[in-house]
Amino acid sequence: MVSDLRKQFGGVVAVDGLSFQAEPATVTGFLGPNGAGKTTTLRSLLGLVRPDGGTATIGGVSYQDLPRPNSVVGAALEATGFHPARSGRAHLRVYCRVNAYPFDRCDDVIERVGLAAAARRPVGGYSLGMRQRLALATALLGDPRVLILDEPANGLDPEGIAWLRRLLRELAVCGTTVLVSSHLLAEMAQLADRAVIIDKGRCVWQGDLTDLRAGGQEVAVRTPQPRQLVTALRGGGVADEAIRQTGAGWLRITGLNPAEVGRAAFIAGVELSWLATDADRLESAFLELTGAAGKVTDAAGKEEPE
Amino acid sequence: MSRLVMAEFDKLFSTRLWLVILVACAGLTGLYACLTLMFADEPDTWTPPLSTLAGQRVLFSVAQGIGPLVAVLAAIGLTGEYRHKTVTATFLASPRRGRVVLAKLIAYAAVGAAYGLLCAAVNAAIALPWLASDGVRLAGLAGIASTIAGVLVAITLYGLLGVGLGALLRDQVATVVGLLVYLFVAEPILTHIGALESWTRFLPGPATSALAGNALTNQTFLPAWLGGVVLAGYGLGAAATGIAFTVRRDVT
Repeated sequence: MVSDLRKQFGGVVAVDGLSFQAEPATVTGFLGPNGAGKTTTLRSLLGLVRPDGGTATIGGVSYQDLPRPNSVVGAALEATGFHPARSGRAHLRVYCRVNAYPFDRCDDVIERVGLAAAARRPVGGYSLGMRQRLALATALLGDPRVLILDEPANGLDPEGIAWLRRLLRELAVCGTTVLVSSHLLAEMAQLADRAVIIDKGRCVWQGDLTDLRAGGQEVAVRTPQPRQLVTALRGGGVADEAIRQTGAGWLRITGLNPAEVGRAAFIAGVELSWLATDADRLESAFLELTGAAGKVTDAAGKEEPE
Repeated sequence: MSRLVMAEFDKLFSTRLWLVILVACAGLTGLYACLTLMFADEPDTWTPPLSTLAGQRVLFSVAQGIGPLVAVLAAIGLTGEYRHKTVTATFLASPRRGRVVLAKLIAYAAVGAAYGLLCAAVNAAIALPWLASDGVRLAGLAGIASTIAGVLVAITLYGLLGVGLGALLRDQVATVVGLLVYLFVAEPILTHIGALESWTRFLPGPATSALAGNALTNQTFLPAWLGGVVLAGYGLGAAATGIAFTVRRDVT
């Protein structure tokens, strides 16, 4: 839970009055472009960075005040925090030792992240994806009820991302609070139930990803005769506000599928040079939210009651 | 706290650096012992004759020369966490950062004591047969024993010095280069300026010689106990300053 968090680095504002909450049994995506303040926020939550203002707490307690933090919160912040000459298992052993977990836990989490074959090799020879898995294994060591992951899908292949999604889903089903950051919306769409979208250190949108995705399917059309096509569509009962002209000859139509649009054009004898569904409605919503400043305040005002 | 100290040993022994430094320490001790035995009785050295107790105390104290290497090992033990960013996981497991530094102080003091013990053995293993074959008798066991004890304490305190300096500077290259340049270059020059001796007696090197009970013909040292206090003061002072100012900084 983050409340009115603020942090500057040498005059550059990284986080600017950010508030949000991640819920148990939910995968919350923490989304924003590079430099939006995601990592700073997560590091403040974990007591690694001291905020200038506001609070970042876990179950109402600040990280430093947790008696056995690794058993409550598991965190994987970067895939670089390893000594290159130390093996993956030796790395895990260190944190088993600190927390007095039995060393069997190392093998459990190694198995869980699929690193068994490489566990005794030095981390220096690991790929980025393997380091991500080792970071995740470190986070899982204490069987925590809160999991905080910074860009965990970075460096994973599509199969790895699918695996990560299953893992996070399993954990969430068991009641774990999962907070996972990314700068890639497509990735987040696969991983998360809810999203908190930030830009320039502020929250611009938060809610269910399905809400962001909603708003109907859009079809993009390009034609040398846009006026005739608009007339034909209106004649077919399409409302004015469902048709947007987005450029010379380009139209976007909401509420029809490509076949219906194509049929209307054919009947009216209108030539089409492009006809496609807008596959990533989510992506365009995201870009709108984190894009022009005017739109950002609009969206934030509407969607941020907390 | 004991778990944190054990974790430091896990970190140390899961890479090979400890072995490299240990071999270097043993080699350096052997080299210093041989050089002392070969040249101590030349006319223009500052070492008292090896037939005297003073000379034999110098001979049995050459293992103190590994102090800088132990300090470097300890400094890498702390600054390596920043260099390889393992400090993130370390502070996540133990958010009270002062305790992490304290655990490292304890662990590297123990490492210093162990390395000191081994090198004191190497020192004696070369000196005893060599003296015997030259027909030199040991001039006083109690004096030699107190020298060896002083050397062990000194090397232990170099472990604290390395951790403390590392905590203060955090940067690995700066800490290690700074330690080596100071201990092997700057300090020997400073301590040979006779006019400064009342000040340079308080530097780590002369404080170490004081602990070992050395009596060179060209230098005077502090009393042994004060040498120990001074040397411990550097390590613990740097560690305390580091904990108060640098270690608590943001880890980004």
